[in-house]
Amino acid sequence: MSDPSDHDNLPLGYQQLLDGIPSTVLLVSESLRICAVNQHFLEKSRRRERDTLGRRITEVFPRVILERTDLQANIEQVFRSGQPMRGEQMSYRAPGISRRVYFYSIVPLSCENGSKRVMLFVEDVSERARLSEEVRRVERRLASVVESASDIVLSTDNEGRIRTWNPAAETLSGLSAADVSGRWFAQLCAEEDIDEASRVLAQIKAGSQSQTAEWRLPTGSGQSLLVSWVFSAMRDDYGEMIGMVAVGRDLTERRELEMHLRQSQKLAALGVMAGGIAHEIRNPLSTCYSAVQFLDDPDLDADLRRECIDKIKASVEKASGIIENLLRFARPSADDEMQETDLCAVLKDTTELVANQVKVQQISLTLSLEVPHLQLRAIPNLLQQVFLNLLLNAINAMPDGGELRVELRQVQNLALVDVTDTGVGIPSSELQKIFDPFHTSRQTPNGTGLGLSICYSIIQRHLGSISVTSRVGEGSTFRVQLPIL
Amino acid sequence: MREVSVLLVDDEPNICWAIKALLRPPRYRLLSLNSGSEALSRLQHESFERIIVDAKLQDMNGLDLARRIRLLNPEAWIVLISAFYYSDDQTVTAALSEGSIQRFVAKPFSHQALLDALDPEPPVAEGSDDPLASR
Repeated sequence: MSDPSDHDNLPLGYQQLLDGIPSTVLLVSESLRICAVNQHFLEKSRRRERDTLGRRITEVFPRVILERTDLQANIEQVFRSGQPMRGEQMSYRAPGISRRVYFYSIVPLSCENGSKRVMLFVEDVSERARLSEEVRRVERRLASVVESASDIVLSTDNEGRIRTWNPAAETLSGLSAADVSGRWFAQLCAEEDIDEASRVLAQIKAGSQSQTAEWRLPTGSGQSLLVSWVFSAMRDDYGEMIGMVAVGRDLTERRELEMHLRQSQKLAALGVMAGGIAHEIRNPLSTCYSAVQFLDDPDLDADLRRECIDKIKASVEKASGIIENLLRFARPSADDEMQETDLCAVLKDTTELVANQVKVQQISLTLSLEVPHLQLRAIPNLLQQVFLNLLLNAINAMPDGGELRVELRQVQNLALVDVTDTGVGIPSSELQKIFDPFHTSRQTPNGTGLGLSICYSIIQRHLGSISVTSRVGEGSTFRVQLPIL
Repeated sequence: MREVSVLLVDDEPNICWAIKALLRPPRYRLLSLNSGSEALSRLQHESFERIIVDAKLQDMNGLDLARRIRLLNPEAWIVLISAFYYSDDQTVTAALSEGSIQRFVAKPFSHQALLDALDPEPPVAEGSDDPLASR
């Protein structure tokens, strides 16, 4: 039932103002009848003005809302106390429609004629609630990704102080999140890596996209883990850097496996070089043998005697030099740390190792270095293994002789090493697969198929890249790119 | 005593030194060259009774050189020496049976073995074990 005495005929301007508000606004009298209503409410409740004005709120609002919000009691309370009631939330799900969430306030008003009103302001925040629920869900999911990761995931503030530290970090380091919270990341690294760590973090701060590194992470009791880290900047919506994220992987097991693999490949490479080695050693042996046979003659003239002795000395030195080189290469090397390395020296040593093999296959080998020294961070014996593999492959590709060129150039902050042969070439169908483990071609029956995959992983570990271009019948060029210091 | 002309083709200077000291005048007249191409051009206008070829030369394979020498002179007596092959190496036995080389001597070699390889006839010396005196 409507009671016309409760209708408030609002001045035109006020009514328009109310109608412009995209939320429900109602004026309610002390008798809990609706005295004014805006367009938004009428639309949402699908009511007409004349069925609404003067009606009691209990007739206008669905029972479930009335019960859930205790609306009637709250309005009466505001009338009594004269104090507004703000910020109540109410959620409501009608059959067949999605959950709605409302936010409502009740504000007491005094009219000119002394009568009292309250303004009921109801805002539909369903969408906002849904979004924040969605945000929470995504956050929970992200958090559980970080929590369940078996890699270390940590974040720091802009200064490099640790903010978050996931369970994998706790397990691997033996330090709890509480232990490390607020500590400098760099100071958690092993002592020898602290400077390097500070430098990398400074580079990230200076705008570098991402940085990778291998540092030891002390795990207490004098032990440490070798960890491969990837660092990147964390940015807010405006692109401002708000911290750093570091993901670290325990390399212990992988390194061990790789070491065994490299060692067996190394021995295979030695097998390939055996012919060249034999040739280079039997020649000085032959010289010695001849000299000794001459010396056996008691009537040998003094000049030839002197010559014989000199030849023996020089030949023994030559042969033992060759053997020493080989031993150094063949010896299982501990998985060394990255160190400042002269790429030119590595290339010189490596070309020397294959000089024997090159000679017995009528191959001319040229090494051209654009600069006399080129420093980079590397594990020298691993780089040597890469270049040795490339050189032996090239030699294998030229059974009838040819040219083998090793060229080093510097292009901006990259070292470019091209190993070019004039051999049989690689069919384009095989080019895609040659870096796959155990891929081997029929042309190289003594290959293990591991050489290039090992090259690939070693170069990757040095943050470089390796690629190949080839034409069947003309030869191939392998290009190694490495970042320089 | 008749002088024997010998051509040595080896790119190892120390091997040339040793063979030069071994094959001395008046029994031998030795010319040593260190590449296959030099040897081929020399053989265009000069012949040698004995030719010693190393199997691995900078510019060509010693067996290929032997085959090309044979085209120039089907009667050439060629001794292959090598630090690369062993005497029972398939490549060597094949070259011996096809006749592209007459003898093979592996490095390191005893002087007597090389002298024997250069001498197509059985040794005639009696009561002397000095290889140089036996000629």
